[in-house]
Amino acid sequence: MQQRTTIALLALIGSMFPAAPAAADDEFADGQTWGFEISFGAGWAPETEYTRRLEDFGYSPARGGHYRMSFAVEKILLPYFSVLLQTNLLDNRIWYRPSGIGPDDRFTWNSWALDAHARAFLPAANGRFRAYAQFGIGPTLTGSRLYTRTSTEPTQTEHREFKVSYNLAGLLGFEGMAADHVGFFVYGGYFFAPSLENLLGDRHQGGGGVLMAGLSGRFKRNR
Amino acid sequence: MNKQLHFVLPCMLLVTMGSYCETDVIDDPGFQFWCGEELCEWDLEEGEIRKVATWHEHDYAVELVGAPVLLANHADGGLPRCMRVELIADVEPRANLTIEIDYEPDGTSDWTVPVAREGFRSLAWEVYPQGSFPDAVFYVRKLGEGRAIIMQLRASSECEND
Repeated sequence: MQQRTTIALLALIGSMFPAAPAAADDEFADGQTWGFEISFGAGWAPETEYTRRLEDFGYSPARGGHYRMSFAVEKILLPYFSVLLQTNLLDNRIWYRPSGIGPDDRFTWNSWALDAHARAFLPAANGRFRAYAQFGIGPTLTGSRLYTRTSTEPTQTEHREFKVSYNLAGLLGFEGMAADHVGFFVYGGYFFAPSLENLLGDRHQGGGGVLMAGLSGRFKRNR
Repeated sequence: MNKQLHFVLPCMLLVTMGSYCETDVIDDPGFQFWCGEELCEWDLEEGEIRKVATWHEHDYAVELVGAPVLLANHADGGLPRCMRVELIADVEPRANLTIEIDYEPDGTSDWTVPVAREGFRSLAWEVYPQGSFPDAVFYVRKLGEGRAIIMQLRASSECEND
């Protein structure tokens, strides 16, 4: 029974991705060349020397911080190739430390990637679906804030820092058109995004694995 | 009802009201408050200190320069029955550093622990003063020339084994 199910599933996948999808009606989304994408999901930034150092200094991570979001604009240039301008919320964390003198000390940061991506895709089922792989590179923008008391005044002081670094991304995804101009997609992959660095030389990697799902809009045919 | 419960219940009430609960007995345990070149809440009884940044430009520590150095902090609120002492420090063994508590300020330390831990690692001890000792004094004493940077010395009633 399980074997039959597997064969049927493989047959279905095989029918969606023919060996040579060169026919004109295989153009994804009926040849619409512009698209925008919005997605939400989860991500897991790795523990690093940077976060271990925070623990050494008495900080503990707050729960959560695994949500991710992404926005992208896509331009299909060739039948199986497109470029995107994509932004991804990467690592966003809050760490606390008991101050012993009132509210806990708090250290927070958010990292955003702003990348140019190259996407290779394979349309299927008369262009209603596609699978894709993409690679991206661009800057990572990280803002951090330390809230701590640095005087006998009872209020905490906020210390902001902003850091620009780089990131590399590799993603695999699947997209289907639910209507002429609206589709849905899922993708997963990995970001390598060195971001924060402390005064002791420890660097954080604010990327990590992501798993996202979202909606896309398609418009503007060439013909 | 034991003493700990007397303490915990008002704390829970304060927490639910959106406030925080003060369990610490040392003022400025993080060496964050500097009045010029001196610590505002700690008394430098001997030697020289200086403000240093740690992992972050605005997260300070105190470096005990040369030897001898003696820093003191008066626990004006008294001591809890069980007290957790936590230290985050970068101390070379040759600094010959000790943390001391003088329950009754008679010049003789009643609790002393040597510290030799390099690389900003945290250490913790649980101390049972057997009394409230309203005039207790905490000391950080350095007798050697090695590096000694103290990032935090906390003493609170947050005992784990109480």
